[in-house]
Amino acid sequence: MNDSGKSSPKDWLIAIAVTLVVFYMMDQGIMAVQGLPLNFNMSPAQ
Amino acid sequence: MLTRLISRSTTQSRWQTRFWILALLAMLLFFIGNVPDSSSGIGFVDAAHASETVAEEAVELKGAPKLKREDYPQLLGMSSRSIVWVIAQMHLYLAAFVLAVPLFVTVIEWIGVKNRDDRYDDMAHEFMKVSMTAYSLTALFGGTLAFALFLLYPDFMGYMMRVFGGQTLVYAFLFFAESAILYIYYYSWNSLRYGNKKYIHLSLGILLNVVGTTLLFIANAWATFMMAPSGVNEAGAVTGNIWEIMRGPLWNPVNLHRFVANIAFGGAVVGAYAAYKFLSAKSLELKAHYDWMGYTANFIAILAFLPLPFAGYWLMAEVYAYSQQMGITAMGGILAWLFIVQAVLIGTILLAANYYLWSGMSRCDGSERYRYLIKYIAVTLVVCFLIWVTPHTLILTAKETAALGGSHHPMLGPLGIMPAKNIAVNLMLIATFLSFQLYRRSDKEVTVAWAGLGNALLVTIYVVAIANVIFAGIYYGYFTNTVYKVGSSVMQVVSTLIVIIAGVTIDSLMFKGAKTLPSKWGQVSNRAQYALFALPIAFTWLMALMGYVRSSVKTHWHVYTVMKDNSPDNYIPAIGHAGNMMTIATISFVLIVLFIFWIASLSESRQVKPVASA
Repeated sequence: MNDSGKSSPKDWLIAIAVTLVVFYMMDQGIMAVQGLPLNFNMSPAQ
Repeated sequence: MLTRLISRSTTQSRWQTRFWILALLAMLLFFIGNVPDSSSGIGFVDAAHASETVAEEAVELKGAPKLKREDYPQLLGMSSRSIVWVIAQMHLYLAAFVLAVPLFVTVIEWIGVKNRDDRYDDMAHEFMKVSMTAYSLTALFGGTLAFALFLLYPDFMGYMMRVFGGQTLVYAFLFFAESAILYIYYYSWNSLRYGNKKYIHLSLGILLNVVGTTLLFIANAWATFMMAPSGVNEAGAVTGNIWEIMRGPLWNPVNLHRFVANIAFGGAVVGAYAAYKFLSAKSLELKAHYDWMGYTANFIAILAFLPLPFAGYWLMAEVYAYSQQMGITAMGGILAWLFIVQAVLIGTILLAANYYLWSGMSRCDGSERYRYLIKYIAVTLVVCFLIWVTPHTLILTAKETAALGGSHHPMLGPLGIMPAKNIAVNLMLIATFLSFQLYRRSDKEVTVAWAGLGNALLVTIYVVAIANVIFAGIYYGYFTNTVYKVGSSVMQVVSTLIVIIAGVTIDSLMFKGAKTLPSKWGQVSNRAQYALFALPIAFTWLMALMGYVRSSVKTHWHVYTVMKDNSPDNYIPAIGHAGNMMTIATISFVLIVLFIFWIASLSESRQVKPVASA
C-alpha cells in the first residue's frame, strides 16, 4: 500500500511476525479441531 | 402524482389480494380434504402426540401415497415439470428480490439517519419503489405456482399439506402481514421522515424484514424436507412435530445460503436499475445520483457475494453428510459438469464486478496511487478463472483419448480437481476484495499516526493469506491423504475470511478522521454501467442453474427416500433440456425486470398540460 503513511522497517517486522504467528496457529487449530492434527512443520501427524 | 401512485398501488393490491385469496382457498380446500383423523397423528398437537406413541400406533400411521402414472394429470400434453419449473423459478427470482431489497434498504435508511444525510434516505426510498412493482408480480407468480402444483401434482401436494398442516396457514398469514407492513413502510416514507417518527419508520422496516425472513425460512423448510425429510418415518408417516419436520439437516444451510444470495441478487438488480437510469439521464446531476446509486448497489451485491461460496460449501458438506449418494449425484455424476458452468457464471460476476470497481476508481484522482495494482489483479482473476473452468474428465472420442494418452490431460488434468479449484476460488475472492478495498481507499488520505503499521499489516495479511491458500491447496491437496485434503479447504476459507475481516476492520480504524478527496460522481464511463447489467443476468442464470442441481439431486423422488415420483418426468433432465429451461427462465425474468424498471420510471414522468387553443 503506497499510502501517505510510510511503513518503517519496525512496522514491517511487527506485521510479519504477528501475521505469521496468527496464520500458523490458525492452521494448526483448524486442523486439530477437525481431528486432523499437524506436526510442528505442518506435515500431517496421522 | 400522489393520486396516480395511490391508484397504481390500489390496482396492484387488488390483483395481489385476488390471487392470494384464490391460492389460499385452493390450499385450504386441500388442507381440509386432507385433515387427519385423530388416529393419523397429523397436525400440530397430534403430531407431537404421535411422536410419543409411535411404537404403539405405527400400524395406524398413514404413510406417503404410492402413486401411479395415471395419478398425475396432464395439461395439453405438456410436461408438468417444465410448467412448474418455469413458474417456480420466476416466483423464486421475484421473491428473492422483494425479500432482499428491504433488508439493505433499512440499513441504508439507518445510515441516512446516522449521518443526517437525506441522499441516503432518497436512495433507499427509490430502491423500495423498484421493489414495490416486483412485489405484485411475486404474488401473481406465487398464486399461479400454487394453482399449477395443486393441478398437476395433487397427491404430492396433498401429502405435503398433510405433513406441514397448519404451518402452511402460518405462511399465508405472514404473507398478509408482509403485504400490509410493506405498503405501510413504503407509503409512510415521507410522513414518517424526521425526528422520532423516523424511528417508527425504521422499526417498521425491521418488522418487515423479520416477517420476510420468516417467510423465506418457512418456504425453505418445504424444499429441504423434499431433499432430506425429517420428522417422518421410512414410509413417510409423520412421527415428529412440525418443528422436527422443519429443522431437517439441510434447512439451516439453505436458509443461510438463500439469505445471503438474495441480498447479492437484490443488490445486483437494483444496480442494473441504477445503470438503466444513468444511461438515460440527461443532466449531470441525475447522472451523479444514479452513479452513486449504482456504486452502492454494486457494493451491496459484492459484499454479500464474497461469503456466498462458503455458505454453498457448508450446504454441500451437509448434503454429503446426509447422503453420500446425493452428494456424488450432485458433484460426481451427470450434474458435475454444471459446476463448470457455475464457474463460468461466477467468473463472469467477479470479472464484471471488478471491472466496475476499476472503472469507478477513475472518479477520484486519489486512485492514481493504486492503479498500478489493477493489472496484477486482472491477471490473477483471469488465470484463476481458467483454472476453475478446467474440467477433470473430458468427453472424448476413442481417437481423441488415444491422442491424449488417457481420459485426463497430462498437464491440465491436475487442474481439474478440487484442490486447484479451491485455490482458484479463494484467490479470486481475495483479488476481488483487494479491488474493493483499493476503491474505498481511492478517495481517502489516512491521517492516523499508526498508518505505517496499519498498511504493513494489511500487505502482510494479503501476502501470507495468499501463500497459505496456495500451500494448503498444493501440499495437502496433492501430497497427503484425502481427509487432510478435505480438511485443509477450511484453512483456505478461513484465510480468505481473515483477509476480508481484517481488511474491513483495519481500514475502518484507519479511516477515522481521514482526509476525503473529491470524487467526480456521474463522470464514470458507460462501459461501467454495462458491467452493472452483466451482474444480475449472470446471477439470474446462476440461480436457475444451481436450483436445477439442488432439485435434481432428489433423482426419482418427490420426497427423497420417502415418496417416489412416478410421473412421466421422474428422471434428471438432460443438461441440454435443462439449459433451455434455465435460459427461458432467465430471459423471461430479464424482460420482467425491464418492465419493472419502466413502470418505476413512469411515476416520474408527467404530461405537460395542453395549452387551450383560442
